[in-house]
Amino acid sequence: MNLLTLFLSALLINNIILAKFLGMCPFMGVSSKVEPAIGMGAAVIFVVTGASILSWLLFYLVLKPLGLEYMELICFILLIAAFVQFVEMFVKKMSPSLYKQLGIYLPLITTNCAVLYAAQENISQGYNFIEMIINSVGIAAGFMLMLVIFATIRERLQGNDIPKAFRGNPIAFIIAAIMAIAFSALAGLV
Amino acid sequence: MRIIIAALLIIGLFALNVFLYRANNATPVPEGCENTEMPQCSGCGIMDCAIKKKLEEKEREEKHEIS
Repeated sequence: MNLLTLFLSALLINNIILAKFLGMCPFMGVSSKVEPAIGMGAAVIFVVTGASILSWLLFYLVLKPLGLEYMELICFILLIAAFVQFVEMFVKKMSPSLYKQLGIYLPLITTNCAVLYAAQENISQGYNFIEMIINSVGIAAGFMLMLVIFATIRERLQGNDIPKAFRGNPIAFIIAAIMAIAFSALAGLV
Repeated sequence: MRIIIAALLIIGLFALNVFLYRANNATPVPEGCENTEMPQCSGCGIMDCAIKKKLEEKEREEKHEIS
């Protein structure tokens, strides 16, 4: 598959949030303001890419040669959790300024199913190393894109006169639904 | 044999998790990013430095108003 097509497919058409409905918890929880949304998105890009690389290597260098493909799920979960711990520790020590920006989001990403989805998707689709990286970056960038758009809309709505019954989560879900409908129009692009 | 390798792999990954978790907890957080203790909320261990900064500013303003 053409790499650009792969990237655009992961970014927009098969968007992790609007098409796959994964990673909804941070999507709803970290989208009240644009600034934390950007921080969360950047952290997700980093973690998804790193975790996908490690998972891909683990599968093709350890699990597949040993005939242990059935252990993919449990191994990926443990690997992702370990990787996030390592990243948090590394950022704490090496870059306190980066930790001040991203630190709160790293533990949240451990439970983000989008990370596990990206790792498993790369294996199930049989991507090579380059395709795996492009797909992972596309998935994470799609997550960040939708998160920032959603946060922008929610921030704009804060100044509006929304009926009491719709304030907070109800209007947020309506916005997400309208975004999903809008982006479903891209389905025939590739 | 394969089951033994599988079990060792799981145990190894689990041990790695435990080691990294303990190492992460032992690593000191940068200054200003410690958990904030909020008396009104026992479950709020806020590590967000931006929130902590805003809380401190608010406390300073309140003290200034009182004085």
